[in-house]
Amino acid sequence: MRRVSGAGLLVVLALAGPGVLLVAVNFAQDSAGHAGTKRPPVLRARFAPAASVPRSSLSSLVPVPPTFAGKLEPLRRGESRSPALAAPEQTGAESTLVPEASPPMASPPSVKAGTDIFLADGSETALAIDVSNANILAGALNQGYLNTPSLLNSSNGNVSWVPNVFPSGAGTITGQTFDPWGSPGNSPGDLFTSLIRRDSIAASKVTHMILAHSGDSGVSWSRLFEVNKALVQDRDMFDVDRTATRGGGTGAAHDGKLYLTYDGFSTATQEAYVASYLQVVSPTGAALTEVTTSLPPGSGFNGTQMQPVAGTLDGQVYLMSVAAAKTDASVTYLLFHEVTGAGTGFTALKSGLVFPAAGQQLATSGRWGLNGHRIDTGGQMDIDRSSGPRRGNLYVLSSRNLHSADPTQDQGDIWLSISTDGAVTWNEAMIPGLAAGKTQFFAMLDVDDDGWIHVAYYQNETGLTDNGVLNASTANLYYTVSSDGGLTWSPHTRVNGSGDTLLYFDPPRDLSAHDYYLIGDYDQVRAGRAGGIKVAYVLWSGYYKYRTDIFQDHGDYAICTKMTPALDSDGDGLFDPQDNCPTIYNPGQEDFNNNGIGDICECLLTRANVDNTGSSLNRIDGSDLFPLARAFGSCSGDAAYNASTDLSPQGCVDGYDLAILASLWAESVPVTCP
Amino acid sequence: MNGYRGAPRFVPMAVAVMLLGPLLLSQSCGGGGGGGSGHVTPVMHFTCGGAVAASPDQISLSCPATSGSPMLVTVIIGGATTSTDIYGIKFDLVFSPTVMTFQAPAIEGTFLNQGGAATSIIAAPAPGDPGRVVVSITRTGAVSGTQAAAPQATVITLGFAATGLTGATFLTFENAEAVDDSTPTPTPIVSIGFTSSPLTVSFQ
Repeated sequence: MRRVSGAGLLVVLALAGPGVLLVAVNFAQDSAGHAGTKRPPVLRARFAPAASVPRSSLSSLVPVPPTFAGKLEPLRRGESRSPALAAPEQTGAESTLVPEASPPMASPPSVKAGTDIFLADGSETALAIDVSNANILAGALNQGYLNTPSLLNSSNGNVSWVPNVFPSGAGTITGQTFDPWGSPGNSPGDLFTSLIRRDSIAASKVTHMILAHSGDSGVSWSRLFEVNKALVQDRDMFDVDRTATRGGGTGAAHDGKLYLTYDGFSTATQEAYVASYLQVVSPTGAALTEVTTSLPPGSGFNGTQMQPVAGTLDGQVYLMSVAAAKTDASVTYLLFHEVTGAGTGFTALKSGLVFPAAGQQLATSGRWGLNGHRIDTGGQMDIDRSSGPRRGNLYVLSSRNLHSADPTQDQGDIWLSISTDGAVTWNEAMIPGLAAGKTQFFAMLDVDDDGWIHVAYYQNETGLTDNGVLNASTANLYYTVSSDGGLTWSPHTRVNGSGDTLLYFDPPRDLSAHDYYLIGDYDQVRAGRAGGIKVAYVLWSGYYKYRTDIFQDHGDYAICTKMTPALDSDGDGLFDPQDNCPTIYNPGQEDFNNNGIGDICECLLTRANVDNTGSSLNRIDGSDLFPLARAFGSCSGDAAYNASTDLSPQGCVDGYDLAILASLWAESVPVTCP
Repeated sequence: MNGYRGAPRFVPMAVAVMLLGPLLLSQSCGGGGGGGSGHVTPVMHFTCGGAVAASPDQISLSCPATSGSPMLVTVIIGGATTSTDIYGIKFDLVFSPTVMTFQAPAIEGTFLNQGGAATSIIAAPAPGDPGRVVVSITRTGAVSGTQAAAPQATVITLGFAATGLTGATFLTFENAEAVDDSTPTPTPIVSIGFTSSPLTVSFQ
C-alpha cells in the first residue's frame, strides 16, 4: 500500500472571518515498522470496591510509631558511634558480613551511570519541581546526622545540583534536620521545602517544623514559617492551595495558602503522642487557622502522619492519616479527612482503607519492616487537578502484604486506591505488571497536571533466604505511569542504573538498639514538563552495604534519577509500546483477526470510506469528506453528530478526524473489515 | 521491517497554522537569463487554452494564456446558480504527469466561504497516480449551503509546476460532484455540471 506523501497533501481548515487557518498535515508514516514487532502486554488493573472500614473498629486504633524513633536517639554530630552501627558489625551476623571481594567504597561517584545523580548522604528525600519548568528542582534531605546542607537545587534537570543551607529556626532551633517535604508554589520560580530541626541544646527534645521558601527557583532560601509548639514535632508535610490556573478551585480567597501538618509528641516522653495538627499559613508566612486533627486514642484519635493534599475547591484540603490496630500491628489503616474553607471546616474520618502492611514485624519490636530496617507502613496520596474527566479523583498508593502469615512468600505489592467521590468510597487494585513473587515496597506517587499517575517503588531482587522476599541482598527501583486514571499502565522501567542496585546486608544486621533505623519513609516521584516534554524525577534512597559515609554508620545516600514517561500519542490510556494502534484512540484494543494490529488501524480505510457509492466507490475522496464536514464540531448526543465520521472515536468529530481522512486521501479501499 | 502492509498507521508529523492571505503563489519566470558564455537559454513557459466562458450552474476551468511555472488554474462556478444550498464540491483533475505536477497548496476561492463560513479543503495527488489530483472543498459544520451569484465565483485555485520536459496535456475533470447541505450526508446536486471541455496545456 502506498502512503500519501506529505509533500503534496494539503488540508485547509478555514474558520469564520478573514483569518484563514491553514493546516498542513503529513501522515506519511507507514505501518510496516510496527508490524510483527513484539509488543509488551497491556497492563490492565482490575479494580474492585474497597472494603469499608466500620467505625466501630476505629476505637481500637493506635498511632503507628513516630518517624523520629531511630533518627533522633543515636547520634549527634561529634558524638561517639554506637557499637551496633559501627562497621564492621559486632553482631551475631558478622561472619557473613566480613567484607567480601568488593572493596569498600568511600562514596558513590558524583555522577552515576545513566541518569542517576548522587546528591548527598541521607535516607529521606523530598522533591519540588517548578510549575513552569520541570528542569528546575529543589531537593530536601535528611542527611543522616550531618547538619548541612540538607537542601539542594538543580537548574538543569538533574544534571548537577548546588548545595544550599536549609534555614534554621529561631533561637536554638539550629540542630539536625529530618522529615523533608517539598512542593512548588503557584508561580514560576516559587518553591517550598520543609524539614524538622532539632533544638541544638543537647538536653532538649524539642523539634520544630520549618517551612522554607525560595522565590528564585531554589537559588536562595529563607525561613517562611516555623511551628513553635514546644513538642517533639514529627512527620511534617505540607501542600499549597492552587490557583484556578494551576488546577485549584474557582475563587481566590485561599490561593497560595500553605497547609502544614505534623504530629506532636511529648518532650518528656518522646513517644507519648499528644496530637496532630493542621497549621494554615498565609503566602507571606503569617499563621492563620490551626486545626487539631487528631488526639490520643480515646479522646478523638483520627490517625497520625497526616498528608495534606490541596483539593480542587478553593480552601479544600484532603488529609490522609495512618493508624495501626491495637491488637495486630500488621494491620494498617489509612484514614481520610477533609478540611474546607482553609481550616474553617473539618470532617474527620470520611472513610478508611485497611490492609496488612508490606513486610513483617522486626523481631519482637512491634516495628514493621523489610531488609532489617523499618519501612513506612502508610502510603502516599494525590489528586487529579487536570481539566480532564478525572478531575477531582483521589489516588492513594500503598504497599501491602498479601502473605503476611507466610514470610517465605512475596512480602509486598503496590496497590492503587481511587476515590471519585471525595474520599467517601474507594475502589482499589494491585498495580499490574509487578514482578510476581517479589516484594515491592516504598511506593511513591505523583499525579501531574495532565492527570497522569506516576509511580515508583522498590523491589527486593535476590537474597539468601526465600529469594530475598523478606530480607534481600539486592533491590532495585522501578517506575511506571498511567495516563487513564490507573486503568492501564506503562511497562515498568528500572530507575536505577545497574551500578546503583541497592546492596543490603543479608542476613540483616541487628539494628534493634537503634529502633531498626527507618529509611524510605520519605521518597518522592515528581512529574512535570520541561520544554513541553513530560518528565518525572525520582529522588530516592540508595543503599550500599560496603559504603561508609562520614559517620561510618549507614550505607544510605540520596540519588535523583530523571525518567521520561512513555508516550500515549492517541490519549487512549495505552502507551505506544503496548498499543495495537498507537496513534488512533482505541481504548478497547479491538483486533478482530488477532493479528496484533488494532481494528481501528487495520480497518481505518474501510471506516473512512464513509460513502462507498458512485465516484467514491472503494476510494477516499470528497464524498467521504462531505459528511465529516457536515458533522464537524459535533459530539455524541448532538443532533449533528455522525458516528461514522468519528474516525478517531473519541466521541466528537473534530480536526483529528479530518486529519485522519486527509491522511488517507485518494486511497483505494481494498480491505474488508467488520 | 516486517512484511505487514495492510494497516495504516498515522502519526501527525507536521502541523502549521498560518494566515492564508500571504500565501499567494509566487509567479516565477520559466528560465534564466543569458550568461556570458555566448549562447542564449530559451525561456520556457506554459501556454494554456480551451477555457470556456462561465455559464450558470456550470463549473469550469480557467488559466492564463501564458505563464511561468507554476501555472495557476482556477476553478470557477458560473452564476447565478439554480441551487441555493451548495455545500461542497469535489473533483479530480487529470493530466499528464510527464508535463506537470500538482503543487500544493491549493488556494481557497471566494465562493464556499462567503458569509464567513468555515471551510475545509483537501487537495492531493492520488497515491501512485501523479497525473491525478483529488480535490475537495466544503463548508464545514452545521451551516447552510450557498449560491453562486452571477456572473461567476472562484471555487479554488490550483498550482501546477513544470516537470521540465516539453510537451502538452489535457486538463480534465473526473469524478466531479457538487453536493447540498443535507444531513447527515450531503446529496449530489444534479443541476450543477462540470465542463467537459478540457484545458489544453503545453510547456515549451
